[in-house]
Amino acid sequence: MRLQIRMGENKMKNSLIIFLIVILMLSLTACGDKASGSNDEGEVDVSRIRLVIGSTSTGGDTYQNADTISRYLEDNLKTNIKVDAVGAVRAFQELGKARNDGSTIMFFHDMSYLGVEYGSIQENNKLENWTIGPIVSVNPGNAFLAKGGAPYDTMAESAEWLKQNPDETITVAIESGGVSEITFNGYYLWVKEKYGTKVSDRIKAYVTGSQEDKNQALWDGNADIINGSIGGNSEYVKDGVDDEIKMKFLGITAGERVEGYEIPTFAEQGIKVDGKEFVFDKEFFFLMPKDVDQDFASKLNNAVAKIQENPEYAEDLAKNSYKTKYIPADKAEEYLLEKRETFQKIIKKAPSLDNITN
Amino acid sequence: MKGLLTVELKFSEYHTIFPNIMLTILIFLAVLMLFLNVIRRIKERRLREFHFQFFVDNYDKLKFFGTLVLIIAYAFVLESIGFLLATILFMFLISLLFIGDIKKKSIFVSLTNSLSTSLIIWYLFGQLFDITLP
Amino acid sequence: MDMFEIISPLSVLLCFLGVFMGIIFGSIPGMTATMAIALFLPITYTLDLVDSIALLIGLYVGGISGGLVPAILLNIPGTPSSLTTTFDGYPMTQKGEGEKALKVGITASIIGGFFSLIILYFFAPVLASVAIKFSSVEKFLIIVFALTVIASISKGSLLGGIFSGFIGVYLSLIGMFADNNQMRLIPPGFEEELVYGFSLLPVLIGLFAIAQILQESETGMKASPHQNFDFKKDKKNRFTFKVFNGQLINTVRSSIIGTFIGMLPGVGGSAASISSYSQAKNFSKHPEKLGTGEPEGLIASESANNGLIGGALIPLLSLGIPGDSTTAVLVGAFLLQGIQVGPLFIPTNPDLWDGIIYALIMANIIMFFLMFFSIKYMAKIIYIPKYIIYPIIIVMCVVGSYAINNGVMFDVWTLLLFGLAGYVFMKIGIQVAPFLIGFILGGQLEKYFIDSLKGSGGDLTIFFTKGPIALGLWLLIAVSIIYAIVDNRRTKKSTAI
Repeated sequence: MRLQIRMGENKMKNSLIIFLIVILMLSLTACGDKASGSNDEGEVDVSRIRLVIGSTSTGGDTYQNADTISRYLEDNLKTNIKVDAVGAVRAFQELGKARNDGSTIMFFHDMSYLGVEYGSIQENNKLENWTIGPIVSVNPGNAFLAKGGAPYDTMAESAEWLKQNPDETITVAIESGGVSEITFNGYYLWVKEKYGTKVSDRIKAYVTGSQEDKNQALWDGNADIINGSIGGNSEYVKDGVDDEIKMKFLGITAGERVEGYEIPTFAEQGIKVDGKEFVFDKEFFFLMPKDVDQDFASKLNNAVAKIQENPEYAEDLAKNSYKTKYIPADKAEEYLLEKRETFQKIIKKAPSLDNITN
Repeated sequence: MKGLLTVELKFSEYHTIFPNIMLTILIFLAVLMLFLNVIRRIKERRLREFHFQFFVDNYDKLKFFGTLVLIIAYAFVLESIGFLLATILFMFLISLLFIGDIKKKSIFVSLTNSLSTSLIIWYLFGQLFDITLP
Repeated sequence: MDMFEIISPLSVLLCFLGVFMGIIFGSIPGMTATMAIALFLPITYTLDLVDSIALLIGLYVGGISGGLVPAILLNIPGTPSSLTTTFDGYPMTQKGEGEKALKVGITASIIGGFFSLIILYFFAPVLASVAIKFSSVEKFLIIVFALTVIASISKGSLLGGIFSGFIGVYLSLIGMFADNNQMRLIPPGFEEELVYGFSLLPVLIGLFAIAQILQESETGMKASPHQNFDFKKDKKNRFTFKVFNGQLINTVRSSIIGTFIGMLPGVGGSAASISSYSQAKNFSKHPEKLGTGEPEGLIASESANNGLIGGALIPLLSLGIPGDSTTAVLVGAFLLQGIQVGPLFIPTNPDLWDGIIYALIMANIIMFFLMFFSIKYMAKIIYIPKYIIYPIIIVMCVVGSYAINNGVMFDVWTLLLFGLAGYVFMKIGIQVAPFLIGFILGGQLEKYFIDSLKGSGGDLTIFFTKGPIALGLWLLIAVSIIYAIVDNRRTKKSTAI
């Protein structure tokens, strides 16, 4: 008897839950629809956009920037956007197979062309083979860090320290084939130019994968300096963190300082390559198939332009120290090609990792 | 090799180090197994006996190859004709194959199963949860 | 206790919902806890923080626990970490003890869950600082230790089992090596598809589900004997908590192993239940019975499995380092809310920390009752005729494979390829379980091997000279291997007579 009552209850419970789930889902989708405003012109024809991103992580900056912009785009374009974290190689594959109606588009950062230059992304995915969409945001937080107790406080000081201690070496943990490597190259080339090979030959690279691996390399003593970011590492810099895992920022590669952080930029530290200040801003933009529907592309561009003026968008980005930046689609191509050219020169001069790893 | 206990590390060759070690171990194990097998056979004096049979006796040819062909065909048409149609067709045919006859009741069972499952999956996962379906 | 100031009725509801959906995702072959969390991630943006945590923790606990259902009833691991659950779970079903097995499983799950929760709550900061002392050398050795289970589960030929394991490791290396972005072992023409190698999930369910279906179609899809069992009247097979008598040490040991391995960033997941199963076998009074349907093995696997959850949260919450792929998705959820997880997370967010603990308590309890009382119905799955359930399983496997990397058709082909391979393996004597364990752990084995050498400049002696932890691990590895060999000899002798 008791068992039967229980069974009955359970069935009721189950159907109640299913009911609740349905209600929740419906209300959530309804919320999304309601939010779309008056503008009927901006509406796109596709009911669902699949936004593939060049990272497999849902905790990284690419996902966060993609998620933020797509939430605002959904309202403006009156469509649903699904962010799929498929990774760089797969994202390009999907984009290559995509229809031209805008149902699949890509979101990524400078790695998309740096990877081609370094050979980690295949040649046929170079910028020329896609339609470049607008640049929508920037992560100014690409940074280098050392252990809290390191004998230098900036990147410039680390080179000076190397010069004064001819028996020491500095190992820098980086990821190969992208933003991490290019900014390391900037530092390396500057040391070589300013102090000569006697000092720069004592800079080594420890090549590894994720941010966790780079942090661990620092803690294990396998690296003295690591590449990181304000978003990912600022928690380890705060007062009160155990000495064992405490880190400090040695510099950021962006052009300007980030509000709320006293971290000098590479340029401020006097880091130059070929006489020019070394500045690297990690910028996020859209990529679309070459033959993408012009109507779709211009609607996306207009929507992004409009979102940039919305202070809430900036606020959302600021939560993780990202900033807005808008370069319209027609200017973005020129801009990125020029940026690529600048860094191509650096990559050409950069040391082969074979020679500077242990 | 700098010595037995040191591995030469070169960045552009990182990716070959471990696979080579594994391959060496695999070859070693394969040779060892072959060797032990031959020894045992010599001991038991049946070096030339081989009786390896892939399929079980009287295996169900229709069902086995039918299943194989249907699954592969399903995967082939999945992206071209869409999830819903492909799945309904596939499930109907394979249920029928598994039942093993074409009586009215079997057709009815297969049809219900294929229609209901396909629609539920399509609606629940494809529409409600927004999972990317073929 | 101001529990109710932090936990609102809505968060209780969301936690319930999370567990419910998690169980569904966990119990469908091809769908995982990670997927469920990733799926609900965008929704959490609209919720307040504690509510979204309740939902996500619910999904996590439910998803990990749900994996035991298909593992026990259908011999298909719903998630990679429930692989070892099939070893004793499915034989129990075949003996007509499916319902009992499920109940043993979830009881072990909740014990493991609470055990790790207690460790998390009281020792998180201390343990986290231990965890980062494990460098790549120690992690490599832990993976080796987990791999020693291959020796103890090899059926018949010990060498054959080891060989199968190494083949698994070798195949897991296919694709691009992350450090230098170089491809290796890719058959010509598949460079695009195999950049990231074969995905684990399609391989896993292919080898289990599709291979099994092919095998049964060969014999004509007849009903299995256990499908005709009517075990309700059989009192001996009823579940009572007495099953756990004499299993105290096993349960505690397995929970500790689960929590501990879950806590090591980058190791986590499957290594936990695999090592724990192997230890249960080594310490068992009758090791030869494990693998034939003993609750002992099931308890080891499932309590480690859920112990993992608290373990993985230790480095996440006290250092900001995710312990496994699922907690990595959780980081994303925190960040969407603008919360940074790092070493000061617990002291600076005491409310949130309490909220997480309460959510874990709730989720475990909800999971237990939800599962315990629906097991009656779940266990009926085995009575569904094969011509109905198998087509459903195939379609679910295809959908899950397609969705696991967000829509990659090649993953469906992987599923079918390994389905066929699993079938052929059974015929030619390659052992599927050792193969899979090799495949699951292969990537990590290589990563930590190379990382260790990068640190030592190529010197292999680093594995012995690194420190006392490394030596201790070598000892464990040696004991485990010797034990497995002795056990293998003994079983051979007893079967020979």
